[in-house]
Amino acid sequence: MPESSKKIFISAGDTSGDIHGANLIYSLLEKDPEIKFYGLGKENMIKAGLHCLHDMSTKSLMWLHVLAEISSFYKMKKDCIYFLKQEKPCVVILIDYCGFNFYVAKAARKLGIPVIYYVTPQLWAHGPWRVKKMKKLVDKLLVVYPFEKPFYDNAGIPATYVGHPLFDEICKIGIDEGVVSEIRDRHGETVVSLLPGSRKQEVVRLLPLFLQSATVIHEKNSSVRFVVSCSEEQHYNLIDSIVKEYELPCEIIIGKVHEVIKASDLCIASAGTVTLQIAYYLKPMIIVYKVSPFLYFIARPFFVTPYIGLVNKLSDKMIVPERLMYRNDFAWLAEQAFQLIADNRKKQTCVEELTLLVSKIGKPGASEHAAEEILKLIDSA
Amino acid sequence: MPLYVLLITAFVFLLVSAASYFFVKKKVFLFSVLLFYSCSVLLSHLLLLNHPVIFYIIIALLVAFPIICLIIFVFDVYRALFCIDTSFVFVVVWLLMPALFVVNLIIYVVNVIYA
Repeated sequence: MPESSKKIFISAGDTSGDIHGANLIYSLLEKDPEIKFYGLGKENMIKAGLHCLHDMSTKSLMWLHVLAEISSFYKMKKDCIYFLKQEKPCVVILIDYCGFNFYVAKAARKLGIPVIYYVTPQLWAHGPWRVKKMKKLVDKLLVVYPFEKPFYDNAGIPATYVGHPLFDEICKIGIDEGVVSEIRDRHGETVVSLLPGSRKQEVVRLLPLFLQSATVIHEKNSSVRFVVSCSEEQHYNLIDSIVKEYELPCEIIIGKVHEVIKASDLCIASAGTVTLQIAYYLKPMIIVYKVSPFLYFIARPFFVTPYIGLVNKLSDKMIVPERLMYRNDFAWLAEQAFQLIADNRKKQTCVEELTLLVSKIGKPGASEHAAEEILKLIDSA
Repeated sequence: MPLYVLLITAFVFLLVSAASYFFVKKKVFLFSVLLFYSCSVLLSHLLLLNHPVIFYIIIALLVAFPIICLIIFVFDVYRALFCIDTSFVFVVVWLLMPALFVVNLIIYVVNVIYA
């Protein structure tokens, strides 16, 4: 195999993509330690051995916020294209983040470099027509949810279900039981965790809503304690300033999402991958997503699935309460939370459904399967 | 036809467009958008008979631009032309459609006051 075939270009933008990318790098290195990785990522991928062209730590942006960063995205695109032309990696692996990754895919296809998409964007949820773009730009898909395979098969794109890399991560890192017991000891009987997401915009939109409903819950039951999970240290000050506006028994914990979830009796979470983490620990949850009324109006016609939460979509029924909001409907959230705290039967049903779901999809090995598929494609190229 | 009838008709079609967009009634949406723009262009033309430059600026910015955006979206859906998700064009369309109505309303009110 020539030297150039040992180079892999890998691109991830979000925090979760960075973690999955890092695990994929470790799995690939286990199978072939000679491989060199170049591309875009964050600290986890860099730690795993990525030669980073651009650090994506500050680039998890959504919607129109991208416009403010347009010049840096343009530079990143230019640098990626230059790298692909100069170094001709044997494969380009894209992890989620389709807004930017589609440009990388287009450049790679033009240069005849095979493109693999790992953790595909959720086109089945909002924008199935974009599957045509995927077909044009990508050679192979490594999908993480079982229902994605038939969706892409129908569109004529080779797809392999590898499982969700989140479960590799959970098994790999283990859990600090000491932190779990500390949280429980500090907060006593009933702990409700608030997980507003990893993006700044999500924190700003969702945390006040969560805290308003927490205030209502606390008025009804003063023994309930709250923990806010801060997944990015850089958002601590922001979260702290929002929490201080409410007089609540509420602690902010940085970077210990798994421990926070495990110590909780109920999780109130933003719609996203974190809901799978909560499902893994079999904790009842409420899934909420909030957009402005204007964006709700714009985006509403594009939602083709009746669910916003992954656990409900995967179960194909409403196993946990969820709502896409365009106004501060904290009363609904508080009511649902209170029911799940107080009504043991409802809580038990929820846990049983989650157990069933996790038994189907909660197995580790996704990164290894993905690595095998990638090496197969490299060998056949 | 009195100008206020055109103004009210444009407003009604704007509402129908919004409702049919929200409830994904594609044919009704296209039909009502077409009628909204027809009424609005005719209204602008009648209101700005003595100000052709302003009329052409309004047509370019508030009519041609969003229609081009919609055409781009339709082409992208059928031919997958762009890397970017072009559904954001609806943000442009839904900012500029009410803007066209408001601009016409303001010009109409100014015309009535100074008539």
